[in-house]
Amino acid sequence: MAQALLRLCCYIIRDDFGPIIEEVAKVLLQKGRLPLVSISKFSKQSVSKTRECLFVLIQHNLVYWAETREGSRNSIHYSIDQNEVLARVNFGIYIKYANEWVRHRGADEITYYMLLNGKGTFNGFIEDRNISKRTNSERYLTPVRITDSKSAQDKASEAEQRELAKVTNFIPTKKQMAEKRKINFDSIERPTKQQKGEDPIDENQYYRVNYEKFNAKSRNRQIVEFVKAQINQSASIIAKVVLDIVDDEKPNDVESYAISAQRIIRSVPIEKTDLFNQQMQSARRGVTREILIKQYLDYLVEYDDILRKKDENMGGMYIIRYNEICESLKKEIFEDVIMEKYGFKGVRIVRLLYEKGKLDEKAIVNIDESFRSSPKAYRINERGFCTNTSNLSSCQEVPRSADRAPSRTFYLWDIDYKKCYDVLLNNYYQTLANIHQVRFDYESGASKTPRKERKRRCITTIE
Amino acid sequence: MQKSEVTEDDWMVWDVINSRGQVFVDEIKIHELIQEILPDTSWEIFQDILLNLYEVGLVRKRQTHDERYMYQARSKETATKLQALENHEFEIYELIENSERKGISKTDIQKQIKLVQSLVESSLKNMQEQKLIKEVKPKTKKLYMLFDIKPHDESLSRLLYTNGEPDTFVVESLKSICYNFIYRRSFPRGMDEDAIFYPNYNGYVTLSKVVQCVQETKVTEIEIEEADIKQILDVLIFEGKIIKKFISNVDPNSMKTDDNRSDSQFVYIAKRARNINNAWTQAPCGRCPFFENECTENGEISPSTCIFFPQWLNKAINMIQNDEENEKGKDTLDW
Repeated sequence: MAQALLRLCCYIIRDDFGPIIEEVAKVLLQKGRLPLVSISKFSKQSVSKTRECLFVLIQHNLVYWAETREGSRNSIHYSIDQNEVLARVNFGIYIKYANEWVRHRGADEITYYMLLNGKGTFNGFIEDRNISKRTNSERYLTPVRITDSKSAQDKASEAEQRELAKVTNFIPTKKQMAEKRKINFDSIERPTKQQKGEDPIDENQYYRVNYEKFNAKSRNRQIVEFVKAQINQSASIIAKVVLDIVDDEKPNDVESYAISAQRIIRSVPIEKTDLFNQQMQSARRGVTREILIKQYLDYLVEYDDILRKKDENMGGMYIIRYNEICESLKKEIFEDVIMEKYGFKGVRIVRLLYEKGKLDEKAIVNIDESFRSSPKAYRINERGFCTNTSNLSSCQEVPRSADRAPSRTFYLWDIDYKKCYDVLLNNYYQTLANIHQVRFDYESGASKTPRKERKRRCITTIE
Repeated sequence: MQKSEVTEDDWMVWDVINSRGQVFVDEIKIHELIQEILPDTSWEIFQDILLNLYEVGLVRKRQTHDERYMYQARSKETATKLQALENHEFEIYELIENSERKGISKTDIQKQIKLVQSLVESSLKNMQEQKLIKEVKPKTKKLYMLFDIKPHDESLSRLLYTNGEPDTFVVESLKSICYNFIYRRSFPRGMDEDAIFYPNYNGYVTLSKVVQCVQETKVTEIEIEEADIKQILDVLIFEGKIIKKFISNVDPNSMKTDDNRSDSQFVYIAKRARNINNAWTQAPCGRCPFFENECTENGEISPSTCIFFPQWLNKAINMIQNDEENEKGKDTLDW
């Protein structure tokens, strides 16, 4: 996992910044937190060049720096954040959908400008104040503070040093240190909430794109596509309305706050009522718009728990459990991959093992008789083996005799979906890195294939 | 077997037990039920009746874990045959009866009954002649079981299996028949193609309806059983084509009788067919047999030396060229 990730991060940085900065970033990715001199030594660059590379990486929010006191000297340590590097893969999606998500024309240009420069100000750039207000108030862009240059680890260790400095009269024990560390996490600076009504736009304030917000929007888009594919377009419109309403607040990974059915009904566009009527057969004729939308909401509650009904106040309060929907999305992707690679039989075995737990070959044959064939359970063995070699399934031996003879041992097959998701993610990273490698080979002319120029255009379009 | 007379009261009690079907009934429950037809029957008299029925062979007896007894009725024909048996033969018969569909081998019988081998063999032969038991050989091992029940292996089933192997053609055709039937009944007709039913709709398909549909299509002459169709539907569930839901349609106004229990049952709902659009399997790496272990950055098999990438890229180039010629102007490539 780490190897594929490292390779991909290096290719991403080479793609955006060039090979020299890639060398510096590679050292930080491999070795962790280092001072300037060590980085320059490992990357085989001069100190000045290394410093310039680090400036670029800091500007683009990839590298953190922190000044620490070592004896009588102050030294600066640099560390790189892998997640920030990976986030660069999604930049294309952010720019493409910025207008739609921010609901304002020109948002894509601002996003493009911010992503191109890492951080930017609104100084003399924006004439229309509305868009800057909206991007700021809905937190698509966040202001950059001086403390953002430090990683979470640096902040924690600074706070620990401050607490230790207060303690002068005794040597703390392990327990006391642990208690101090607990308090420290609370005292780490939190961003101050801006007062409502103040003009938040300071022309000299630097801003950066808030990846969390854009990722949440992207996740919502995937949820709407999922509902559209599983149910129909009307249900996806209603799901989109619900997601847009709950998205106004801080993105929460687990579940949203409850919204009332009345609020949802008010927000659904009226012109879609005909479509809703056409796509749901109601119990009786002549239902009103309100009842129709409530029917759709109840359908979403019944179908796979896309929405959850909390209580009956104000016509029904609904919540979305993001983590459960994300699990369904991941499961769908995983089962699609199994279907493409191993066919229907593979999907059946995987779902069977997921629902029933650890199973012996005989038990699998008993439940799903289509696997019974001669030689006995050979097909299961083959399927299980295939998935085992790709690290998807695992086998547990349960010996029946003390000598653990294979003929007198139960072999229980099992599948852990979380582990499979990690394997799949690793495969994705590896594939992305391979595509990058092919692209760089073409650009350097290393591989000899005809129609080079058109191919280069094709590859850049993919990126 | 002791030959004793069966009184009218005994027959009435036997009728009550027989009306419960082929299940074991607790003696307390039987006592409650006979109060309607034989009021004020004391517990002692009741136990005498049950003992009489057991000795005649009209009921089977089984002891529960908390030392109560449960009884199941036997048919009159079986009981008359059992009357002709000796005591030891009756004990062997009971052992075979308790093994139900699994069957029991001669060695197991001998272990439990502790009789001479020749006696056991002659009893078994006698009972076979009287058509009380039969011999089956599922795995080259002789097992004995009651005459009229189906052995475990054979039950799965004449429809789906030929010569011990699943008949793939029959299974596939039944699968498509069932799936099409369920799909047609899962979405409303005469509306938009993506239309759905309202929530709590109770007209979805149940197992019995599917069985009826398959029987009506007359796909095969072999008798179609619910267990076979249930298996087919389970396969469809595991393939992700249908889902199984429990719908409770309890009508609060109606009387709570046994018939109403069937209203709350499992229904099968089809899922819409959708295109599998996974980006990874469309890239060469997703289908490459060397991706996991052999392909490395600088090895002999590497992305630089890959033969699949140029094919994939050429295909993309042709697609872009065709799009340009047709002036569609897509922004992103849809693989």
